[in-house]
Amino acid sequence: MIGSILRRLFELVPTILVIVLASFALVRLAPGSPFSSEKEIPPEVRRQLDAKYGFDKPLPVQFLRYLGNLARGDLGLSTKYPQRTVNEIIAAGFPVTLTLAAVALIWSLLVGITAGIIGAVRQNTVWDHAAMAAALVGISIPSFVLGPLLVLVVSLRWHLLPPAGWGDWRHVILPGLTLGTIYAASIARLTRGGMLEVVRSDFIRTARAKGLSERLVIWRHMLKGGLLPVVSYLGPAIASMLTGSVVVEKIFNVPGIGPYFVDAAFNRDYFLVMGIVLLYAFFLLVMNLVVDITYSLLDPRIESS
Amino acid sequence: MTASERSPSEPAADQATDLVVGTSLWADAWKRLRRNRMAVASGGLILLLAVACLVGPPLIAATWGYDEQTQDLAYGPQPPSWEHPFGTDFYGRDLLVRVLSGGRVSLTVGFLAALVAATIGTVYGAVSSYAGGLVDAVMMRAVDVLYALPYMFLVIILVTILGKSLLLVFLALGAVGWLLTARVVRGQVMSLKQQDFVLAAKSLGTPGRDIVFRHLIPNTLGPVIVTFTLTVPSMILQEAFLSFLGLGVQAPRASLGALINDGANQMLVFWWTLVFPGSVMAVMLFALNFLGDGVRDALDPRMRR
Amino acid sequence: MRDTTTEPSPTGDAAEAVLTIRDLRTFFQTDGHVVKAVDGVSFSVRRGETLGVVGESGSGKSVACLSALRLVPSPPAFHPSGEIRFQGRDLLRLPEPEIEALRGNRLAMIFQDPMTSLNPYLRVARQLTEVLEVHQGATPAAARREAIAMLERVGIPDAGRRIDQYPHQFSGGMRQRVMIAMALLCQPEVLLADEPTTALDVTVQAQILELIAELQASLGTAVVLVTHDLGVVAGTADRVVVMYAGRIVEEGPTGELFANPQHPYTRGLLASMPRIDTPPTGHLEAIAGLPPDLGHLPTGCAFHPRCPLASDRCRHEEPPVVAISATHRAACFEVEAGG
Repeated sequence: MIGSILRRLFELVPTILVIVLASFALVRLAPGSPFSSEKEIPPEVRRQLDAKYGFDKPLPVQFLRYLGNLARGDLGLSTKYPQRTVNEIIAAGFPVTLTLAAVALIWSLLVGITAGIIGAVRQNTVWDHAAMAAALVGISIPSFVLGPLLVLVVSLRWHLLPPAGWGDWRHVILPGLTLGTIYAASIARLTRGGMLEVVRSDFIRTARAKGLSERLVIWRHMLKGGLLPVVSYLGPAIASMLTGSVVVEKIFNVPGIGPYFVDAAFNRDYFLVMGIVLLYAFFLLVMNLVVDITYSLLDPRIESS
Repeated sequence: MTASERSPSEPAADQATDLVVGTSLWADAWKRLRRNRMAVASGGLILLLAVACLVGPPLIAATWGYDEQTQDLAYGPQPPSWEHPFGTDFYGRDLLVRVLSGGRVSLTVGFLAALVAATIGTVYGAVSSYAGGLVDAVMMRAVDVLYALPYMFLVIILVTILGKSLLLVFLALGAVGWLLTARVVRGQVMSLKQQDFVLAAKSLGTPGRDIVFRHLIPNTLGPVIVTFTLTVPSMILQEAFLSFLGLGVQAPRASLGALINDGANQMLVFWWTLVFPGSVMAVMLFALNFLGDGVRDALDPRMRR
Repeated sequence: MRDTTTEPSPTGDAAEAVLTIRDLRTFFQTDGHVVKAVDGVSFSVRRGETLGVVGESGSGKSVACLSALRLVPSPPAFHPSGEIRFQGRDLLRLPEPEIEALRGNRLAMIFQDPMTSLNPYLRVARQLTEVLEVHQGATPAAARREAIAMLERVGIPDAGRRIDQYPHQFSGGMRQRVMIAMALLCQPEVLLADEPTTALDVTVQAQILELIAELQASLGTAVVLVTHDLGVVAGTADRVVVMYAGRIVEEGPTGELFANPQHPYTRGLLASMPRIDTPPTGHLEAIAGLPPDLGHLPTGCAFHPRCPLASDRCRHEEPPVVAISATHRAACFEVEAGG
């Protein structure tokens, strides 16, 4: 088991190299440059700037140098924020984004799985219809509509939670709910679908024929198989939660990594864009690996190879 | 055969039905869809929205002489009234016209991007699974890698590189949104490949390209349509997401995401600037999701009940 | 059979019967019409006896068994009507917890497809021991010991190790042995076997049937063996019930029914089966036509569209049950009453 995990981690290396190359090409071959927005830079200053960041060298050389730095964990300097390294910016923002995504994930799993199980077990009853209608509403309300509405009602009307900012746990709740709701709705639908698929299977009939109580049938015999679709959805869901936090961070003025990315893409802040993309890609590859392993633990028929 | 004996041990008879159903699958699906009242209502609502978005702005322009860009600074932001049912914004622009033309942008981008995604995904998935072996392994590995990438970040980079035109936005969305379709089609073709009619075509010496395009792709149409209908709302959501971040359609032209962004900034004072675009967006997504669900249920009889 | 509320099973006294089904009706609601999957079926089994229930797909034989354990999903099914007597109680009228306590305990069932009937996500040990834990309050350790012993008894080598494996690590025949072990853990009075060998290789089929017979002999279990295969019945059943379109068309001791089939459908089934005891005639006869659509049953005798002897009367009237001998009866106008 541990051997195969290590092997799969090792297999990520070429994938990451491809991603590094692709993102480098994408970012560097784009028209524009980090300094084009600031008008009237004297040629002398421009030359100094290029030398500072190494832009005066040919592209392949720059790429190799970037790879070398990357191997040492150095993501380079930001051109937009000359006084800060990319590592510093990420170290400040990523934990915030991660906290937000974690809260959203927990919220979406709790609500989604509960609603999905109720829907499947009480199929075609009022409970089922209510849960699924709520899920459909949840899927249809984008975070950038839900967020402002929550601020309007919960913060500004009821004064229950702060409308923006970052600090203690009270700042996490509204952004977390805003980010997680749409995934809670998807998870509810996937759980219900997965459970219904299992409900009809022969081995559930066997479990009933053995005289197990309905509770045992659900918890012991249905849940493992029924949650498989949710598990395979988690990879893409986490990816999309992390990127989706861009909007939520903007709404709630949360100092995460998202706003930096949009800014950086606009300003051709090469190293910051690449740093964030690579960080996310690496994180997501690892998360996908975790999801795969979880899947193979749940379904013994899948070898974890 | 009727569903009566579905549960007990008559799989052979079940398969026989599937074969008989084959010819009238589309007619059957259509019948089932029409019987789903909520799906029909959703379809009607989408049609209504589409017509309103297409005909509304020119009609208003012809009747009252203003469009989504006509400002009236003296009039300024006014709450909903008989002249302006959705109210007016900070520049005195009629919000109804702006929401309608924003809706047009959303629907256009949603459908075109989903179409781009479905086309790329279908061809990619079919070719990959038909080729099989190493080609399949490499092609699917590429999909896995792309799946692991922070999807929205790619779109953001593409948009900042390609420029903020409407055409490019949906191309960018479609270009990275085909992964799910590719996986669905591949799975479908994998199972079709083993079936007799494909083996028969092969043994008759039909060239591979013809088998893919004449035999395999037409038979994946059901799942592709289902994926397509569910991709449309997600594309609309992503366009709005980009607009919300200021990366989509540019001012003074309107798009729902941009309108919601404006509204969120002024919601304390001018609530209607958030509520109307937000509700239209939510209703549109809700109806599209409901219709997508209905289409899936209609095309996939297994999911019935 | 149509009218059986008045006459008890002719095959002996009800006192001896472990399980008696009377006038069972299980209907389904599907797309606008009612499907009568089981329509007035009566039979009984005695201790140590094997009753074969034979019929084509859709004849209602499986649904009848599932109804006995109240395992038919509702909806789409309506609650079955009629009476199912077991140990002096009517199973159809028991409250849910009481029928749960009987299922897998006093009445057990095994299913057609061992590939899909075991939970692929749980170890075999878990699936076996839970039966003992639920019904006998056994401790995990005791349940495990008993489960291993039962696996050995059904002929699984190296049971102590295999019990910790997952179902996919077993072959089809081995899985059906696991199913049988699971069903017999509590030494039930009645074993309902729904096509237990259909999904298996021919050589394995014989082994499994032999195993069931062996265990039945040592435990005194009554077995209801549901199958579409008369060959399976010939070697194992004491009595046979032939079902068509949700009803019993003929019933009798195995030897008598095979030697002297009365109903045209039974004759058709026998004629379509290769036999060792008669010289090969060079061809096997198939029954003309297709099994009926249970949602649109023909009027009169449901078999008349396929029956070589059908008369006008068969198209309009339902044939009554005729006793041919004390133990043999059939539902057909062409049958002469006897004995």
